[in-house]
Amino acid sequence: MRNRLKVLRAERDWTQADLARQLDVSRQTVNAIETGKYDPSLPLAFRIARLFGQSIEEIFEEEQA
Amino acid sequence: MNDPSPNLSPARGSSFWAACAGPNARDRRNLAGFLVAMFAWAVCFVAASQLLEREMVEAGGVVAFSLVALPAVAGLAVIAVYARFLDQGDELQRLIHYRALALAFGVSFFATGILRLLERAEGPVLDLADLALVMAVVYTATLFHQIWRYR
Repeated sequence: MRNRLKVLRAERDWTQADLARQLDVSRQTVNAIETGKYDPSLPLAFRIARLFGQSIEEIFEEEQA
Repeated sequence: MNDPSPNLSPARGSSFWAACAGPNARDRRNLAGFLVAMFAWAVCFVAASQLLEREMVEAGGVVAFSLVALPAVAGLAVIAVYARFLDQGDELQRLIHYRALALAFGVSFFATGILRLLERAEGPVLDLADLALVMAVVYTATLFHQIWRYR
């Protein structure tokens, strides 16, 4: 799954640790989501969307097979 | 520039400890609780084992069975504390631990069959303690590999 997390974070000049603190997850979790190694749970996806004031679909995009 | 909210508890400590435990004080407390429970189990197990092996208590008696029950209860406590760590922990940490548990269980399960075959082929004879060691080694190796992968 592709996502715009890194772009959104960079726009706000946040580090991965800053974002991780606000989402109450580890920095490793943020890094894994940004690099596409890990897809977040639905509750975490909602927290991310709420934090950036966007819908989940605007941040996460399903990769076409 | 939008600064993150300052009242959120910052991640402290070494990155390795954070990678093992999770992002917040609750995760670290839960992991520390697990390590303490594990240590308590080890102490109970070694003490019971030594007392029984040196025949310092009467075999088959109430005291002997109480000694057996002690590490069993401590083991249940370890499992409960570990389950709480997984339930309340960071979701990536949970995934890492589930993978390590699954791989350790799988390898040990199939190793049991291989050991039986080795016995029949008159190869090296290993016992259940060796399987527990295999399980612990695979679990730990997988944990470290996954932590390195998601560093």
